[in-house]
Amino acid sequence: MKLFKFIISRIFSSSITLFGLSILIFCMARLIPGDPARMALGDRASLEQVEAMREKLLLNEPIFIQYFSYLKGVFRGDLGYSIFTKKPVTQNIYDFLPATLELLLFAGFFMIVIGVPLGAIAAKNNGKLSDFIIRFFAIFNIVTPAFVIGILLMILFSHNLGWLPIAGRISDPIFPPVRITGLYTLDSLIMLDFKNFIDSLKHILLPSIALSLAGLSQAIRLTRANMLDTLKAPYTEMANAFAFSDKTILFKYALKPALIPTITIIGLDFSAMLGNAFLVEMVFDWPGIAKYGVHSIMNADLNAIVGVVLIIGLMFLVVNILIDILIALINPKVRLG
Amino acid sequence: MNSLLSIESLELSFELYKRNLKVLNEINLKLFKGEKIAVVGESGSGKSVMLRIILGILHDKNALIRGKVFFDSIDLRIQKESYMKNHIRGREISMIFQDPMASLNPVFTIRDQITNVIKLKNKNLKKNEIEDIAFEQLKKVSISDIGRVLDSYPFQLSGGMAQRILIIMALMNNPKIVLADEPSTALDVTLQKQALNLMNELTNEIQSAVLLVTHNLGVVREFAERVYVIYRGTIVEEGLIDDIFNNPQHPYTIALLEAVPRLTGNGLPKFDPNPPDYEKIKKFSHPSLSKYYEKYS
Amino acid sequence: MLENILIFWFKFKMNPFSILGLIIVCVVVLITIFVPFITPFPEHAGKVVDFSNMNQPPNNINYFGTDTLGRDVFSRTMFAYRTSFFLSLVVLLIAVPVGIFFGLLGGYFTGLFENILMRIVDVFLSLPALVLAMVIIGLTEHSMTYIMAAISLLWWPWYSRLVYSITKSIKNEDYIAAAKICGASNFHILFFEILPNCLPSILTKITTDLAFVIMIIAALGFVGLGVQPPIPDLGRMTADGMDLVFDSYWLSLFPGLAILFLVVGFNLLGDGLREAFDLDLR
Repeated sequence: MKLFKFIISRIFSSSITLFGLSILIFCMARLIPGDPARMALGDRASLEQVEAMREKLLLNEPIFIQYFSYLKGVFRGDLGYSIFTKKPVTQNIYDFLPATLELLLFAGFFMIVIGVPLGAIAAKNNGKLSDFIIRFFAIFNIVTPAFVIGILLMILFSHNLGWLPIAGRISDPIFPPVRITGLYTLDSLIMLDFKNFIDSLKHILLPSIALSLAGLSQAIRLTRANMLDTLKAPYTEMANAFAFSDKTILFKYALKPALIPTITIIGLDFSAMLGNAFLVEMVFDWPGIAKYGVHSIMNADLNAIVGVVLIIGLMFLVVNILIDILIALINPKVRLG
Repeated sequence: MNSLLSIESLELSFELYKRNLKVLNEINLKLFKGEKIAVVGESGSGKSVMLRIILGILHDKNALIRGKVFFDSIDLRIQKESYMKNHIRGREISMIFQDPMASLNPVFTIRDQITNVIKLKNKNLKKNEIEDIAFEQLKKVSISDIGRVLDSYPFQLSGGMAQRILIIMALMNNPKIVLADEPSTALDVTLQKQALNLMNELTNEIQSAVLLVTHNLGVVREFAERVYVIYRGTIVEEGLIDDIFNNPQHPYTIALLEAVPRLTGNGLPKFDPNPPDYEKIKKFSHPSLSKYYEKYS
Repeated sequence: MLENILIFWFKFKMNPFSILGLIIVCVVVLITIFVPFITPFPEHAGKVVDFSNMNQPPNNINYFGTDTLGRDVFSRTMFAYRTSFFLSLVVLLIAVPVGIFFGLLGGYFTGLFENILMRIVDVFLSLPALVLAMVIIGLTEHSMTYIMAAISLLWWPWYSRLVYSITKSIKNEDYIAAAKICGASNFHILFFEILPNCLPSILTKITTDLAFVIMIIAALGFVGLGVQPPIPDLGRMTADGMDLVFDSYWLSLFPGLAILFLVVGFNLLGDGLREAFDLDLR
């Protein structure tokens, strides 16, 4: 019950934050110099056409009326019209979001499935050679420029070695799989289309590795540092004194309490990963929402900008709530205390 | 003499920033079957770390250990880690730790943690068998509402209850020796007495020997038959309980006894502002010990 | 005091990675100071073209090769270090004091002010720094001033949040109460009791942030929102080189590696600082 109330209150405060964000971005987008209507229509349009467009886009109304009209639209699922792609922003998001989600999922998977165990091993072997080797590969931190890593990987694996494709999500002659989730790898697997699956996998490998590297290093170092603490704790000493059956029990015993501070910080790092996604998508020409966002900014496509920002803000808040729930599950004090 | 545990010339030093710290200095100690002895000394005297050396769980990289620790004629110091894990720890020799709240893992239930100890005897027990054993053991330490306690996490329990859980975990597998590191120091006086009584009762039942380490002379009086007094890593006096309390010989022991506050008042004891190097004064062994040891030959 | 510094150094020294970080940072700082003297073609950082020499691979004269306008990549990279470092320092010089100030106030004085402040901080923290920076700069101008202003604006909330949580956790400690009883003013408590407790975290964060801001500026340059040419910018250089990455790999590779080098150095240093502040001395 307490957990439920906790989730509700988090959703509530996150909504307020999202609200504040939307106001901030909306106002910023509307207050830039330049005339959005003119930009939409181009230089050749006549003054009357521009004025008509201004009326249509409510640009002559006071800002809060514009905002409320936009808000009404949001609740109807309408995020406005993208000048650049000539399609509704909602449609664009629908088209591009899954690509970014797939990328983030793969990167997150690498981060946790490789990062945490390596950190645990390094902590266990503190001072020995394996510890140093693992730490050497974890010298990258959360601020590692993913785009540089991406370029390096691309040069090495695509160009010099030719093992993996250079860009894009799927090779030209192959059609993307039927859209069930929008995640090419998952959809092709569900449809048992293995050729498609392998191809999608090959395409997603480099960008997701580039994206995960920063978080991966961070996960290794955090897990290691926190486990060094828990390995010295009195309860671990007692477990040692009782020679608890397996080393795996020690790993459960020492690892679980260490996960609490680790996951808290990794949650914060997710924000940096989202930011890095923008760069990685540019490098690998990955048709995701981040690449769409960058193009929107370059083209001053206001509705698209606001839409992308809101989606990113939403994703981030959702992840934060999920992480809080995860911590509540691991840490009984939060659940019951 | 057939001692159960025999520590011979044990030395411990640490390599630290700028210096080498000698913590244990030629410790010699014996423990016989079923005996209850105490090692009493102030904080930092090295007594706690000695217990960890016996079990072989002192994992400090900077630690240099010399000497022998004989358990049943086997030198534990030279045994393989697997031997210690499979035969000694938690089975033949177990330990009761100082702070019960800190010694239980905060993110696992009591059931999980007790299960680990139960499984030491038999890895293949089924869930309901384990549950039965857990109930049986917790009853021995007079814990009521056992089901709720098993479901709880350590922070939901009182200090006294956690202490009792620690005691039963140490005694569950019928160890030959129980090492007690300042047990119940973290509790108030009434709980302390209860815990000590419990320990006494249960160890008598299974005939375990107890090596109790403490700074509290009251605890020593209540519990021990024979005492070692330790100061700065050196044993300065050893004797039977009555001899130590009624006829202390070493200046440090005398000072220690003087320091205990007395209900009868009389103000603070007068201490020498420049105390001698206690550890350099020769160790005193009470003569009555030799007669006592004859029992065990 | 001196003893504390020595002990700190001893702990710091224990980790070889931290020493490596320190060396890298020193190298970078030296570069930024002595740049005009150590580069063979300092003028290439400005409006110079030399088409006769364009697109040369790395050789004895041009260690990193030349770009499409014939400029020496090595010199430009070194100058770009200076630009990045300078921008980063300015941003932090603004953001850190402002952030600390609001964080202390928000954490210490509860009530409406705290609520409003923390809501604002939440909004700024709800987006990745890079995204927010791109949006702000994309919608305004990408000149040096706007970039510094935009990043400082979105950066101070991170320090507020950090200082806020530390302040909140220690403001009910006994030594704060003791200070109050002795008649200490709020000013004294905030800046002489609470702030020193925040300093280790702040210092560590500053070291990582130096790298982070530089990374963001490089990222902005990469997407085209960085400082205008011909001022050399690591991100911009990397991006420009991407089109030709398979033929003239040096155009992207070296600026990219330069970013990596800098970032890794500051990270290792920051980690070393954190360890030296935290570890118990056994």
